[in-house]
Amino acid sequence: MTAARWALHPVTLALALLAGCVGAVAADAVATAPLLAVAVGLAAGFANSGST
Amino acid sequence: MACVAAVLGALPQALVPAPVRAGLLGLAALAVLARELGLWRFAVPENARLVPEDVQHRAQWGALQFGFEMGTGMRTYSPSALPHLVLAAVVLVVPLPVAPLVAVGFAAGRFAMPVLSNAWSDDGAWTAVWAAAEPVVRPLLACICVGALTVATLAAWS
Repeated sequence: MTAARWALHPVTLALALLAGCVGAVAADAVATAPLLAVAVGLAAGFANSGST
Repeated sequence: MACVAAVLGALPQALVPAPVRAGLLGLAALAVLARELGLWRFAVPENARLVPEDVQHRAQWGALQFGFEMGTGMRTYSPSALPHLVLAAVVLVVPLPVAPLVAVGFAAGRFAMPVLSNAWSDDGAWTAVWAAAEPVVRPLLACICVGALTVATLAAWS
């Protein structure tokens, strides 16, 4: 699989989202709560989309 | 949808004590997590219909109507219980100003799938890729959703 395909792979994207959440919490910044709110919606929207 | 839920949620958030709301959401989160991990099978509310293809050909707003109905999940299937959990969170614990951010995230997540499908290939191979990745991705997304919800809620109340 090419690098581009790996970048678009669902597992890669989910792990990137997880890393973003961990990073936002670790940074303990003012924007942490808003970022987590977006992440919550993103995870739900992505999971609810199925294959299309 | 999120904005309506956020407005409706203003009432329970004002009247019901925070520990009670947190407890209710915690129970819902555990049930949804168990479902997404495949430990517990139960049906979630869903319209269970597809938007007819001819909707997008209606007048000039047909495509918009098609996207609205499918994108919001109002007339489609719901393969995951995470949107239901997020809706419960918006009603029970998410502050009104933060609810639109949740909605933006949800819309981006819904939007990502067709974009990724088109970017992957023209032959519809994305469906097979998603199907193969689903046993890993679905529990992972559930953990992310519940984890982020837990951290954000506890941080807001501490």
